[in-house]
Amino acid sequence: MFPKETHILAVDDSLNIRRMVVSSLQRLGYNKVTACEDANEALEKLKFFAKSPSNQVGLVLSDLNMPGPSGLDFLKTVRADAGFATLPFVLVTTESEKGPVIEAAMSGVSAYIVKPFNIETLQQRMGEAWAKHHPKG
Amino acid sequence: MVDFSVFDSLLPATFVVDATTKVIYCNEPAASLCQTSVRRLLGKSQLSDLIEFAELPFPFKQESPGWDSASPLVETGFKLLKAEKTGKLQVAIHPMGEGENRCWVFFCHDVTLEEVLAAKYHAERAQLEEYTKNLEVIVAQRTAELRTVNESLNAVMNSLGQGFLTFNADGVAGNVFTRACLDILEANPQGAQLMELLKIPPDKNTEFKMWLKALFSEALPFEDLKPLGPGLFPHSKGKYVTIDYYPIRSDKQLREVVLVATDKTGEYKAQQELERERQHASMILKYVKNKDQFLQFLQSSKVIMDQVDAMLKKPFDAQAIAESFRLLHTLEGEAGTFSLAEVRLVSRKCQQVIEPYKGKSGLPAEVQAALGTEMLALRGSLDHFLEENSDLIQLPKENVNGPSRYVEMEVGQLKNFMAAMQVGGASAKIIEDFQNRFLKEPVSKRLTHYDGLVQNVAEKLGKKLKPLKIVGGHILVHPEPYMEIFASLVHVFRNAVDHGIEPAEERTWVEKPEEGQITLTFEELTNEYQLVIQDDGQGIDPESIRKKLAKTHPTLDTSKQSDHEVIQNIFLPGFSSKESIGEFSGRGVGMDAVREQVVKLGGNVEVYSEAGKGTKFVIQFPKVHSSFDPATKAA
Repeated sequence: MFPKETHILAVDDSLNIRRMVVSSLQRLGYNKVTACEDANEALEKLKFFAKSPSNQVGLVLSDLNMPGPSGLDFLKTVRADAGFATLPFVLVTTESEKGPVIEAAMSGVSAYIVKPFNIETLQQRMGEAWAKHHPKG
Repeated sequence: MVDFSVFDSLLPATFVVDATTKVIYCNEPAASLCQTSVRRLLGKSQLSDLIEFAELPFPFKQESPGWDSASPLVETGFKLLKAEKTGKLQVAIHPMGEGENRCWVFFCHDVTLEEVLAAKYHAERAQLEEYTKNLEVIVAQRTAELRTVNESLNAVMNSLGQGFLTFNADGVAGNVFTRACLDILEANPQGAQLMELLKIPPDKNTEFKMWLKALFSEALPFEDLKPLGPGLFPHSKGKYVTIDYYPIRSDKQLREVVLVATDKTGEYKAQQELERERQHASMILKYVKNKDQFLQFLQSSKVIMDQVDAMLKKPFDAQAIAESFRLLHTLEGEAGTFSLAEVRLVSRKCQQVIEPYKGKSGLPAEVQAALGTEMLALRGSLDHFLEENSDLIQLPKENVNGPSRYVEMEVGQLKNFMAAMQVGGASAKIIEDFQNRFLKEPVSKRLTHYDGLVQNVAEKLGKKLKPLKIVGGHILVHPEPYMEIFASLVHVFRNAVDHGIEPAEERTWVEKPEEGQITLTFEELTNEYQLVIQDDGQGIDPESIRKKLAKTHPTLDTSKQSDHEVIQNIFLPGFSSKESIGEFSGRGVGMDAVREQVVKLGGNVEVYSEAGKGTKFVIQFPKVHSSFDPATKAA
């Protein structure tokens, strides 16, 4: 599992989902969670926190289908910035969104998770995403 | 060296042997075929010491010709040499690897299993026949239908074969494949482009190529990319073919992928057949157990259809739209209750025709005409049902659809008539029979329409809900005294969906099934009826009730009340537990209306709640005896 002090950036346009993600992550012991409602806000926050070494975002959890830039657009923008090349990025998708997920796989997504899911699966996927960019030893 | 674990999840028993026939790999089905464990077989046994094949595509000797190419699937008898077992196998052999690493893969499909499946099926048939034990006439017909089920099951057994092929990073199929591919994938895959083989439509070509690239570059773990690829094969004859993928690695790198195509058509069809049979058996059971209600249902469906047809003679107004929708909905519900699948389906279709016009002032002429056509189909489906089951349902067809005369009588008139019978000395038994037949009705008649309501509310709130479950709906009651209580239940149901059941996504987070369930249980106690409405939602939070009460009822002291006592306050006039006024359950009237009706009749209502588990409303009200009830007579 990844460190509990990891700063997690959660992006989803639904208030209910944001609330649930934040409260579930807190129940799992991840208390540093920043929630955003769209990709523009998320990008802003990501860059803002990057300036402060102690607050840098350690993992992004983003919905795929959002008004404005999609989760895939957000991923591409993030990966285009050399500073975020190895930032663990988990994409939240639905069963029917195969095409964009394949594109995300080729655009450097770290892991994806299909809605609906439970907390344990989410934690596991986030752990896999983390492990991908933090090889042991 | 090839990682043989790709075979771990295959259905057929799979052995890999070296040139001395030593078993260097086998999967679980292979071990169980030999009646031993994988651990005991690996590296210690010669296949030739384990199994004697009656016949193989080539002699079972290492120096023989034929070991160099993949063999077709052959059926052969076999005998275990270290255990008491004989049977039949379908065997295909494929060479793999080169030089010293050369090995041979045996795919063995145990067709002895057929007998086991057949035996299992016979048990199910015996059960079905048990159901219809007393209905000899029907058995003959059922048996004929069961024969088709049997044939479908045979089809499953014959089609358990799987097509295997391999493909590389360029999406080109390799030379190793099983003959079953020719049938299942309708082409010879050797050297073919996978995209053409799987008939990927042109608009998905780019996506497919990108998937291949992602798969072989292992952009994500194989297991994560697998579900993003094609999962079904579009068979030209409508076969149901599923596709699965397994990686073949060497030097930790993905070299090839094994594609497994499985024909599940037979399984799919047999399941449908069996489901139809179960429905039929369940209809027969319901008929046998509740003959009166069943006949009543047949008659009420005729009344409903007549009413809608009468309305169809004039252009529909808003009221006709609402009324016909309600009638058809009732019919759908009742047809479902008695397992008349087709009647149910057609009444649903009738509703769908008018559904978009609910709340509007009229129907376009062509929509009304379409409803007329669907109504004809509805009559047709009921006729068809009666015809098919004429041996079972001893009801002259005219009674339902023909010119037979109906007598309509107001309940008051009927009561007068019965009073006269009583005075005239009719026996208590006759009076009771009369009551049960004409004055009482199954309580479900007053409750089933709430399913439409809760589904409607759930849909508008974006929540998912199983059909309303009614237990004890067959209990006969005099409905008149309880009409107001039954009507007030609308608030309990709306609250259950609005405040109780959580949105589907939230439910999965707390590991509940996506669909909520509301259950109504009706019970007849000695002197009273008990009606329980239970949901499996989030329960009522006593703290938020306390906070709310501080605003709505500032003079009420809840400090000494237990949580259970606190939540009873939702029945206070002027209480509404939601901060904002919701569309459904915050209109000022609320749970106090329910209590008012129940108390008026001398009953009581209590709410129980468990956080996260759900809410339960327990409503009790005394039986109100009619003047014809023997109980009143005795008193």
